[in-house]
Amino acid sequence: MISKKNLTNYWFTIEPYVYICITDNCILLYNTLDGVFIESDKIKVIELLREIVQEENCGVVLLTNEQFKQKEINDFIRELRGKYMGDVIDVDLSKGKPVQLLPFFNLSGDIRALCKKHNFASGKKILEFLSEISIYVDHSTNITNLIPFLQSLPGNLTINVVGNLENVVDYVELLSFLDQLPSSKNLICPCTNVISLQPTFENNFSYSVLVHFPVDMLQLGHSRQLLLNQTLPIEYVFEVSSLDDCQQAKQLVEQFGIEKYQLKPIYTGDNIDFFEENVFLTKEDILSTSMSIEDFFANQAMNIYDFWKVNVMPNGDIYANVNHLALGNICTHSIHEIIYKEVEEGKSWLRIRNQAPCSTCIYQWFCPPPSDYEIIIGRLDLCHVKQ
Amino acid sequence: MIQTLIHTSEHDNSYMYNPQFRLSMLIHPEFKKAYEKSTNVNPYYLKKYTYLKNHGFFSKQKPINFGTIDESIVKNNITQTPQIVFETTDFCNLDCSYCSFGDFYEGFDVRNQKNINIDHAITLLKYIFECKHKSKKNKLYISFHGGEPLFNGNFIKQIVDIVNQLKSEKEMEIVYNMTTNATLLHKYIHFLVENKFQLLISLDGNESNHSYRFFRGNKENSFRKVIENIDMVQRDYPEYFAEYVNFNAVLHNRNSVKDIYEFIYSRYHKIPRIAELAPNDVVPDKEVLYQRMYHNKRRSEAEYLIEESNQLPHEELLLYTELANLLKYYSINYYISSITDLFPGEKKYVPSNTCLPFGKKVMLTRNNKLTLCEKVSCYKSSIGDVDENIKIDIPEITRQYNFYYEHVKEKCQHCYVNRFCGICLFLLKNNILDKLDMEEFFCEEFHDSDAFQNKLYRIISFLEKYPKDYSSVIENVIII
Ligand code: SF4
Ligand code: SF4
Repeated sequence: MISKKNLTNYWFTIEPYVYICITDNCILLYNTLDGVFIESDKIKVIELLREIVQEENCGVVLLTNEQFKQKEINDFIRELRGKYMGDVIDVDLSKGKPVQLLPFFNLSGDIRALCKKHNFASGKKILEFLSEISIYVDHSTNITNLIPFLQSLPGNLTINVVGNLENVVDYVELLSFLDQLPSSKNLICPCTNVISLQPTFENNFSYSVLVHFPVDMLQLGHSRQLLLNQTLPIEYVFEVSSLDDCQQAKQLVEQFGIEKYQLKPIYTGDNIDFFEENVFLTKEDILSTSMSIEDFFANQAMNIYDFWKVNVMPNGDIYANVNHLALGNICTHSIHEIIYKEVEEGKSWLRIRNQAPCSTCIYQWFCPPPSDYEIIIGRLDLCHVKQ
Repeated sequence: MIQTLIHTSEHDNSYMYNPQFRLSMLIHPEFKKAYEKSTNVNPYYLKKYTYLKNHGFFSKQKPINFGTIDESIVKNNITQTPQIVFETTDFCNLDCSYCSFGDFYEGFDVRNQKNINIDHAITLLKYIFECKHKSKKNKLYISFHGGEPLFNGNFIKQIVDIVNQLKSEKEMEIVYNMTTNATLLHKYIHFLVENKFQLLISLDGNESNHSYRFFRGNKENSFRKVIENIDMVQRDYPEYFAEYVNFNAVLHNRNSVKDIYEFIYSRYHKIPRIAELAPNDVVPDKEVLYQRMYHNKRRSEAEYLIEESNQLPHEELLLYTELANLLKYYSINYYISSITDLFPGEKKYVPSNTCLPFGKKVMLTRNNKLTLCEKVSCYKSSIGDVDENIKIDIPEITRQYNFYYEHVKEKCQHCYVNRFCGICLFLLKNNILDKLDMEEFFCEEFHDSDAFQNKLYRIISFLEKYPKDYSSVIENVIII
């Protein structure tokens, strides 16, 4: 006699904290709770997963007893349950089909378009989408235009001032204005251009000191002394283009007792080997970075490097990313217009990994969004993953 | 204390909901047993329970970070006000039994047949236009409210003239709208059509359904006049009617959701908005009468839904709206409509869903007061005065709001719907805001775990019936 147990059909589901990726010939499931993943190229498994992400199935499909017993499926389900990434529930245990609220990126194609529709509809407070502004300064900077523009921005933005402040006519006036703002202000300049702020300007300033190679030791020492006489937070950014630079940077860190620093790789046009070895990602790098549901969501929706940020050049031109076209100018455009333009036509805030070869890669949404390196080097796949 | 909940559905399926991760999860009945610490549990589910426990599923939830507002938020809102409402006049030729100016409600200024002051209205308009930046993307709604606004049609015409001058400077799009009882439409229809006024016509259904809306003088039902005018608009201006005319009905003991739909949909092919009688500010000795007239929308809708021939569009169902809110605010997909939540750093919320001043609109009353909106009585929500100048005491408004937040946040902290509850504090019954410093805040919509479980039961059962709604809500329902 066939026992009832052997005839059971099941509701099959994937847990909502699992990221599902399906390409033509394989699937990858990633558990965002512990970083464990499952890869499979079994046709039946791929078909089952394809079914589960159909919108009408709402995260649950019927698995007949016959399907359940097929080896490929059965092995897969065993692994899935073992890693707490999905389950099967006997259909007789309830009166009808359940649902599973999967993250929508597991179901639909274009999260970016959806986000745009939901977040930038007219009536939304568009200024909420601004969090940081970088002001590039030199002798041509016009304070009379710049200050009213800064006044039109929402409070509490992070403000970066990039360049040699002393070149700006009336830079003291600019500093006095910035000093009154509650925002945090970061002065970014080479060590040759460090100036003393305190005691006149005290409120929420910090320094990012850029160090180029070869290093002018005299200037570095001099600026270090100047900064140590003040109590502002300091970060050093070593602009490295070779392994030698990296080593030297580490020595400098020790020699000067630098607490906070970062190494920023610089592409010179002939150091691609340095990038391949030190910047390009391997499959292991990609899968060992712990990814949350939010991270997958963000990678599909926006460019986290550029989003919320704008840059103002000394001539007043405004960019979302300085490698793309200007969006307008502080003398002729309001900040609202700039933001709308970037969302509608721009290429920076919403630049994601949606082009070849990444668009067909199973790690498409694991990799961080394209950074400036991709633009400068001129290719999207700065990785060792073979397609 | 807010914690992970287990709930079921009409199909007898089991689910778990974690408020902190905003994660709903289908669970095996054995998992439920493991959670409930029953005996004889399948060991796999005991292990799964421990696994999820180790990943924070059953830990103490982090309390929501309720913040306050500062003056810059109010200032920013003023420059971005999307809508100006004019209380055009307090006069109305109808004397509807449940009108906010009638003897049913208190707190609204006494009706004394007064029109709004045009000079002050212009001062306000100029002020708001001045604050706006130039952009074709900017849209400003200008609304006329009453009494019956068409009793002061001259005012409306003058405002439209002025706005047409002001708007070209700023390249803005202007949308006019008006709520009207339709009895005077014949006098102004040409002007309204010409300026593309969006009309919201008050109509409670068929003649007997509409019988609380009678003329002030002879006490006759206004239905015939109203229908005559609506028919005229539909006949003579069919394109305008199709695009710009909508209906609003009040649900009471002389009509039902069915009556309203069947009459308005079959006659005009329009889906009416249906509102319950406003529960706030009812005069205490009218409470019995109020209870007699009150008709619960959920119940009335459910009764109609049982009929197979019902014409209710699926997207208009209350449960559909509840599902939309759950998916937008309480599901793992909440980022789609709130990408600022992905912004690094902790997100701050303010309690309840009370509009901030100028956040959605500002209303100028006939008594020269600036108020939050037409639904809230002006003594509660006055946010400024207008004469030759605009007087807005931003520090005081900010202080007042923060006072409210300070006093309600304790309660909201323990409420399961505290990320989005749709509650306007000004519209709560019994003038709660007036007593905040003396009494504990009481909110009739407070959701403890039982109430939230019931809500989840209701919504997930609905979704089990209509699984396709999941993607259609996320893709199409935009919450502004
Ligand atoms: S091809 Fe693109 S998406 Fe794939 S691993 Fe390389 S960089 Fe990442
Ligand atoms: S429903 Fe009431 S108690 Fe709950 S969050 Fe909203 S205002 Fe607070």
